Amino acid sequence: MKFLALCSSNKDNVANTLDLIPIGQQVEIKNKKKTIISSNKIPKYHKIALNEIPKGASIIKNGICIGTATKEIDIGAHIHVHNIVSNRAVLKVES
Amino acid sequence: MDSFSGYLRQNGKVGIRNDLLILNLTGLTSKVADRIHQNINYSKLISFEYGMGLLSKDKEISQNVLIGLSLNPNVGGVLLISSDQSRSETVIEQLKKNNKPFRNIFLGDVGSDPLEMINKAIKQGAEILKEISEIKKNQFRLDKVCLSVECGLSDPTSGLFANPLIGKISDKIVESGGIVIMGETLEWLGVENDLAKRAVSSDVQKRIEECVLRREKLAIDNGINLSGINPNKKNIEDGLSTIEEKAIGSSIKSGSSKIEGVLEYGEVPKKSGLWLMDAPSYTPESLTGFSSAGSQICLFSTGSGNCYSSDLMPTIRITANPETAFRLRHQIDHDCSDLITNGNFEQAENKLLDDLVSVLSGKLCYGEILGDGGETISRFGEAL
Repeated sequence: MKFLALCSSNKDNVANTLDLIPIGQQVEIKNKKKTIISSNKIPKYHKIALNEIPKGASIIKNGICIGTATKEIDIGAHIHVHNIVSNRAVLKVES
Repeated sequence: MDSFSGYLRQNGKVGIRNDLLILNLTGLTSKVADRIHQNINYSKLISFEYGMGLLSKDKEISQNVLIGLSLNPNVGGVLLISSDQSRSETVIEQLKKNNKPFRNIFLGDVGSDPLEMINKAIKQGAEILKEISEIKKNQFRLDKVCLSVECGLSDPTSGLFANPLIGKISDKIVESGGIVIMGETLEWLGVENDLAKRAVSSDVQKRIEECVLRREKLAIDNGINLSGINPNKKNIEDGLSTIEEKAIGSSIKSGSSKIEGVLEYGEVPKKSGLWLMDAPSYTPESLTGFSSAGSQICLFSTGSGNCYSSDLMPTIRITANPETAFRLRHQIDHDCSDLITNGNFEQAENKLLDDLVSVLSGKLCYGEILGDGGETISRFGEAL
């Protein structure tokens, strides 16, 4: 079976999966002519990393920053609230 | 050309429904108003549950929204219910100015006897309905449409497929000379620069940025972590990670037109084109802001399913999620999930435009058939 993910802009480092993707499968990235191997199980419509993303790097979707990596993310990994965080409305920590 | 059949109102606006609106203006009479509503078929009830103690912005906006709702073009006539005559004065003034049929009943008028009030109000409501039911429909072009766009319980299919499709319809309405309104200010967070670039003037640009920063500050000042609120837990479960990601998918509903300005909650746009409304994101409050602004119809996308609809504006529920379209087939009016497999936006746009024109002309939405509708007026502060 061929698994698919959809990427909206050339600048993006994530794509949305169109199927539930088991670990270790080939995933064809539509609009990017690229195939990557999933390094986690990824739920349908969730995000997959298109390259290695260092901790602190921006996550780009539709050419727009949607948050920051809180740890190093492998190519083909599931990207979600466990490894990225919003840059907006961040609460100030009282020192 | 795309045209629809509607009801021409005395003020030149066009309604797509011809409702009797029972507008209850005081909390004391809300039960009375509900009993009147139950006794008149084809009536819609909106109840404002508060009294005289509203202050400043809250007072001003609620008054404007009550006027806005009563003047919505889908309303053929209005039955005003209140405990106190003074509450209805400003609404009456506008109803007269716009030549909209109405009757006004207040508790003091019937010796403070609610049963007498119900009796009298049913008779008067019946008279208005008889009168407005004679209005004949005519054909109109899409320049008479004020479309509002909303999303609720989004998942990634909303931002990738359903909302871009709605954006194409938004562009079509604006090109045709109509009005489009998009609200949910919090969901401009992260894309405010892109929205601001589309503003018609530097003033509007500044206003867009200010509205977003003000709402972001509200969250910070109140110690609220948006993760779990917006995006909410269900959005996160379905794959949306941050407010920025949600905002990209949400704001695309506005299409690509220039932004004419930013409206206050419930404010009526002064000219045609695309408008933003600075408003809360919660669907019931958001949709009522649009109804008050004079929108006759709403395109409402959902990912996992959202059962809400406006009472005054027929609300076309759209999903691109095939599981939701199948599971909630008596909730979802428009299934565009084949976009996921064929990516054919042109075909999907024609199909949605056809459906929109049908609903404008009288085809019922599930929200209307099943009575899912409501109107909830936002509050903006403490009362005396």
